[in-house]
Amino acid sequence: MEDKIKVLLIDDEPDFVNNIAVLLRAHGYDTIVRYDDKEIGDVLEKENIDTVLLDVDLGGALGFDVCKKIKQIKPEVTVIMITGFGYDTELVEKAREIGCAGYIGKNMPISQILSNFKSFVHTAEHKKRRLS
Amino acid sequence: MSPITVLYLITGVLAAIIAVLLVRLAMYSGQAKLKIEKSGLKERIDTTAASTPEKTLSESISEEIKTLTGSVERSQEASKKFLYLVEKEVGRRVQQASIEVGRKYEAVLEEKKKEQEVVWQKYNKALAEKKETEAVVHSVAEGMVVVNPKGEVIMMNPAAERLLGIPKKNKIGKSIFDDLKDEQLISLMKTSSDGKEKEIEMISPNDATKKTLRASSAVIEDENGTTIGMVSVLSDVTKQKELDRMKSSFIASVSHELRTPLVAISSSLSVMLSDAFGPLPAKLEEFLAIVERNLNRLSRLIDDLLDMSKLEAGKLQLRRTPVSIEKILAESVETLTGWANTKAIKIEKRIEANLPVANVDPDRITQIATNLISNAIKYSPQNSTVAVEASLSKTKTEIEIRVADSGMGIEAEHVTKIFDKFYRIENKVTGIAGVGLGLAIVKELVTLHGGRVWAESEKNKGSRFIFTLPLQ
Repeated sequence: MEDKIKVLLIDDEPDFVNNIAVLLRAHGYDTIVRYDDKEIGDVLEKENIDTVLLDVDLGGALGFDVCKKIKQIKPEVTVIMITGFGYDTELVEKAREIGCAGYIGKNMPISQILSNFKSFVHTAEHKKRRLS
Repeated sequence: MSPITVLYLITGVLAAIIAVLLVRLAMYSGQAKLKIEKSGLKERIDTTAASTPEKTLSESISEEIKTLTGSVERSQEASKKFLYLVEKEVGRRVQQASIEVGRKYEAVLEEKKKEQEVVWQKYNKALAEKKETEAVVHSVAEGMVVVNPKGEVIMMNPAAERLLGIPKKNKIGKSIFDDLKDEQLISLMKTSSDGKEKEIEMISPNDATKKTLRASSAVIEDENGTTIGMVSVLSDVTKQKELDRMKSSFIASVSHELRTPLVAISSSLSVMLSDAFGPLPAKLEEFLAIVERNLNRLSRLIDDLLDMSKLEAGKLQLRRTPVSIEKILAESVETLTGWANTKAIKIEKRIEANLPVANVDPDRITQIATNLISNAIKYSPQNSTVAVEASLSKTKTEIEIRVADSGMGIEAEHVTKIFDKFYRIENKVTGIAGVGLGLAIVKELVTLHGGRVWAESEKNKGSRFIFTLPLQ
């Protein structure tokens, strides 16, 4: 049986991120939740993370800076940005520039957030398999 | 002596005088000399001339009259009378001529004086008008700058001096942009959407003196239609721009903060409805559906606020891609058919066959179509029809999309205002809720695509909303 994809969710909104974690688990993913970027290096290494769902606005830190840090530590990790600011061309462009696999607005219905997430993960995993 | 005799005498005397004068004139000319020599009279005349010194006119006349009258006394008397008459006549005529000349001179003088008065009156009037105009221009709060066709300043008022931070004496005869450098650099000149106004941002290292000016300009033409210059009215819109920026930032921030708890509720709801914790009782599912419906409504409202703030800040960018308008309209209709069915409203699609694809942002066109069709359903009575039409324009350069309903219609006074932000028609009968942002966003999105949007309506006869999308 294929290993479950391990997702690290980083968001400073516990109510939202915990619900998404429940829904992702219901859809067959393994999830770990963090509310900030502290000790992120340890989590990435120890937990063998495949994908990170990362909030753009982490309160104290900028999600884009955290994304760069993740890519430096473990370049093969898939990073998907999520934000309450909705679709913003500038933010989307910036996410693409720093190597994010996708960008999701929290303003979408939850069902669409999940389907977009699945689609980005699927594309990224397919790409990884092709390159390996 | 009878008057006739006197007249004859005068005539004779005049003839004699003329003869004497002619002879004298001839004597002074070579030609006369030659004639006298030829006629053999030279010696006699020379003798006479040599023997008689220069005579007075009176003596000459007396001599001539003497030859006519033969008497010295009579000739002297006649001569005196004649001279008296001549002097009297000459005097009279001279006086008459003097009077005449005097009169004419006075008339000319009077005329010139009147002309001068008219000129003075006109000059004073023009001067007063000029002073009046200058006083008005001088006292208006907005800056006014007049330039000639070369762009050189020919007039500017104190407000313009203050706004541009340059004294008038330094600018007259120079280009308006000459001294605006370094610390006051014109960095940006952008034309507003109506093309009549320009915004000039004057950047200074010191934030306190940094300002944004709005210039409204008009070409000045003479009576022949030749451009003789341009007048620009400058207003300081720095505070207005700052307020706009703060407002946009506030709306974006508030919308984000509003959305955060909303997505938490929404995601919780999704978890409950996902069967993650087993099936739910039917009654509970019913209530959760109400929660979900109202959450979606609140979410749309926040999306509208966020969209509006982005549009106002010029931060909303389109993701254009060639798409079928027919497909977008079909999807929008399909999404809303369920809701229309609850009111027994039939949505009729009348899409022209073979419409060309349009290079538009499909998400935004869906947003526009959904908004207009939703409104049509919202304001239509039960058991009515909503028509969604699309066709190529007569010029074949744009696609025209129309959404028509048979609802309550809009009164003429509101038709042009319904696309304004937060404009709501008070209608206690319908009680339909909303904040008045939907159509304002529709207008902004259509404009961003380079199209136009307008409404046609008649009270109690329904409304028709039309928007166009350019094909290029």
